[in-house]
Amino acid sequence: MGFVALRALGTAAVGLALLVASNVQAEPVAERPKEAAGPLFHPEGPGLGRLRVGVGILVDVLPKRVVESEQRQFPQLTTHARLGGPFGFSASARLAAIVIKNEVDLGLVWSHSFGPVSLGLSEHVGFSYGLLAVQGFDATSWAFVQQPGLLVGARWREHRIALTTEILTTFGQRTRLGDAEVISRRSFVLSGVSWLVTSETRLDSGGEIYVGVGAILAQPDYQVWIAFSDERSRILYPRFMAGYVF
Amino acid sequence: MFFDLRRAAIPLLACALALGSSCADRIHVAHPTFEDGGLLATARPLSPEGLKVLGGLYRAEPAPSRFGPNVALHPTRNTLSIFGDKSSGYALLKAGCLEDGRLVLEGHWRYPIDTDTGLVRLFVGPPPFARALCDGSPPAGTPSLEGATGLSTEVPSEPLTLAFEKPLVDLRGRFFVVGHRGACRTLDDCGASENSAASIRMAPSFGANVAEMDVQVSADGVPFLYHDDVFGPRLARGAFCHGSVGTFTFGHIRELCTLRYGEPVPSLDEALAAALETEELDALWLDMKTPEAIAPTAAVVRTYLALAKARNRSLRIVLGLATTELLEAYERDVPKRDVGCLAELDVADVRRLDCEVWGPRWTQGPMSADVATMQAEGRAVAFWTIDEPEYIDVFLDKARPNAIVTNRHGLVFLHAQRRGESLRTLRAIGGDR
Repeated sequence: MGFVALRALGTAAVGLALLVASNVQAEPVAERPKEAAGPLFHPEGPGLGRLRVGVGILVDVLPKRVVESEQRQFPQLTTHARLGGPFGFSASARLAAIVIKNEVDLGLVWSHSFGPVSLGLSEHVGFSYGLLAVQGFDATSWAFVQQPGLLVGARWREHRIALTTEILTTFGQRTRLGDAEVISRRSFVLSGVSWLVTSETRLDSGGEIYVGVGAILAQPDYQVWIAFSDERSRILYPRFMAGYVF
Repeated sequence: MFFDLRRAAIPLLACALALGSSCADRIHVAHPTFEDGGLLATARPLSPEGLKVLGGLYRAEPAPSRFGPNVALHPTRNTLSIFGDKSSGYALLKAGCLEDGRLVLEGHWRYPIDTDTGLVRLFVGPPPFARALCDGSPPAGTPSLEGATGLSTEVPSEPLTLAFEKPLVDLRGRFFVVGHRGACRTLDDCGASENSAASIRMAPSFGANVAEMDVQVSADGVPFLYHDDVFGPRLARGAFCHGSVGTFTFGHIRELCTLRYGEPVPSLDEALAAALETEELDALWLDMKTPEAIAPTAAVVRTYLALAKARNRSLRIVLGLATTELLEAYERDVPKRDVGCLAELDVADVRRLDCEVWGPRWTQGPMSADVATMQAEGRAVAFWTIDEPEYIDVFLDKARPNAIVTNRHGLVFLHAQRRGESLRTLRAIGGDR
C-alpha cells in the first residue's frame, strides 16, 4: 500500500515538474533571455559569473531492511544553486529539507570539457540535522557530511545529461534521545557511494526542467534520522528527483 | 509552443523503471557447517549440567579476537553460545566428548550486522577439567577454551583462546533479555523466520529469556503469529500469499503461505506450545497487532497459563498494547484482567489498566524518573527495541529497566551480565494473577 502510494507520489512529482515547465514555456519569445546560463547539474556549470538555482523534490526509497513494514515516506524539498567561476571552477550549494531530515552542503566543482563530453571533480561538506518528536519519538540527530565526487557529462540535443558519483562520508554523528545525554557514535565513517544520472532539458524560456534517477549504496544510518540501525551492510536503494531550474 | 512531453521521455522511462524496482533484501546468509559433521559426528553430547559449568564471562585472546576482548558464554540445555561486543558477534556451539577424552565445541559464528559468518572449533581445557565434565563429575578449577575460528566454510585457522574470568549472574527475577520476534528478525538471517515456532525454540540460545511475538487474527478468528498487516515477500512465500492478513482464514494461510525459511505460519496455540516446551523462556510478550485479536488471544493464553501451572512451569505471558484502540479492546475483552498486560504508551495507561509492565519505545529516551516510579509501584519496565551497544549501556545505566527488547540478544545479555548484581530486582512481570 505504502509503496504504491510512493510510486503515485513519484509520478505526481514528475508530472508537477512538467506542468511547471510547460507553463514557463508559454512565455512569449520576446521575453526570453538572449543567452541563458549553463546547466546546474552538468559538469559544464552555469558559466563565468552566472548563477543557476533549481528547486524540486527528492525521494530516497529506503530499503525494507531498514523501514520494514513502515513504508510511509515523504519527498524532501530541495534547492540547488551553482555559481560559475573562472578556470572551470564553480561554487555549489545544496539544501534538502523535510523537518525529520534536513541537509545543507556547500562545495566546489571543477570541470573541463572535451567537445561534447565534460568531466568534473567536486567536493561538498555539509551538515545534516533531523528532528522527530511524534509517535513515540523524542529524538534529534545530527552529523557532518563530506562528499567528494566525480562528474561525467554529455550533451544530447537539448538535454544535458550528467552522471555524478559521490563518496558519502559522515563524521561526528550524534543523537539525543529524550533525557539521555547526547551520544557521539563514531568519529568518521565511510557510509557509502551514490550515483545519480540527471537530465536537464533546456526550455526556450531559458529555464530548465531536470529529472534525476540514481542509486545509493550506503549503510542504513547514513540517513541521519534513522541513525538507530546497527546494520553495517551497505544497502542499495533508489533515489529520484525532479525540479525546475531558474 | 508548449513543452513537448517527448523531450522527457527517456528520463521519465528511466524513472518509471527504477520506481518499479526494489533493492531491499540482503542476500540470504548460509550458515556453514563442518564437513561430514565435524568432530561432533562421533562425539558423545555433553550433558546440560556440563554445559552449565562452562557458562561465564571470559577474556578473549589474542587481541583483536573475532568477538572482541571480553565475551559471555551462555549455556542452554543443548547449546553453548558465545556473545561478544565486536559487530554484535555470536557463536552457536554444541559440545561433545571425544573418545580420546577431549571435550570439543563446534558450530558457527556470525556477525548479524552484516553477512560475515564462519566456523568455530574450540577444545575445553585443562584436560582434567574436560575429562571431569565428560565423566559427569564436578571439575576442579576453572575452564579455558582453545581453538580457532574461520571465515565461511574454511577450516578454522584463526586462533582463539577464552580464559574464564567469572561466573554468570542469574538474571532471573532481575533482568529480562527479550528476543524481538523470537530468535531474530527474518532479515537478520539467524536460521529461522521471525515469529516461527523454530524461532521461539531457538531464542534462548541467542541469549533471550523472554520471547516477543506479534499476534494477528485470521478471518475465522484464529490468532496466529505474523508481524505485518499484509502477507508479502518480505516475510512470507507463496504464489497466492498476498493481501491483508485479516482477510485470510487460518486454513487458507496454512495452505497458501509459508514463512521465508519455509516454516508454516504458526497459530498462537502452536507458538505457546513451543514456548511451554522451551524451559529457558521465563515469559512471553504477545505484541497485539489488532484489537480483534485480543479476545481470542486471551482465551488461548488462559489455556496455556493453566497448562503451565499444572506442569509447575513458570511461564509468564503478557499482552502488549501499543495503541489506544488496543487498550480499549483489552479493557473490554479482558474484564477480569486474568491475562496480564503490557502497555506501551503513557504511564497513566499502565496505571488505569493496572498493567504489570510498562513498555515504552526507547526513542523517547531513558525517562529515568518514570521508570523509577513504575518500579516503585511494583511494575516492570521493558524498553523496545535497542540494538546498539552505546544505547544499551546508556539505558542500562541511566534508566535501569527490568528488560530490553532487542534484535541483538547476546549483546544485551553480555552488557547486562557486566552489570550483574547492580541491576534492579524485579517484583513481578505479567502472569496469572
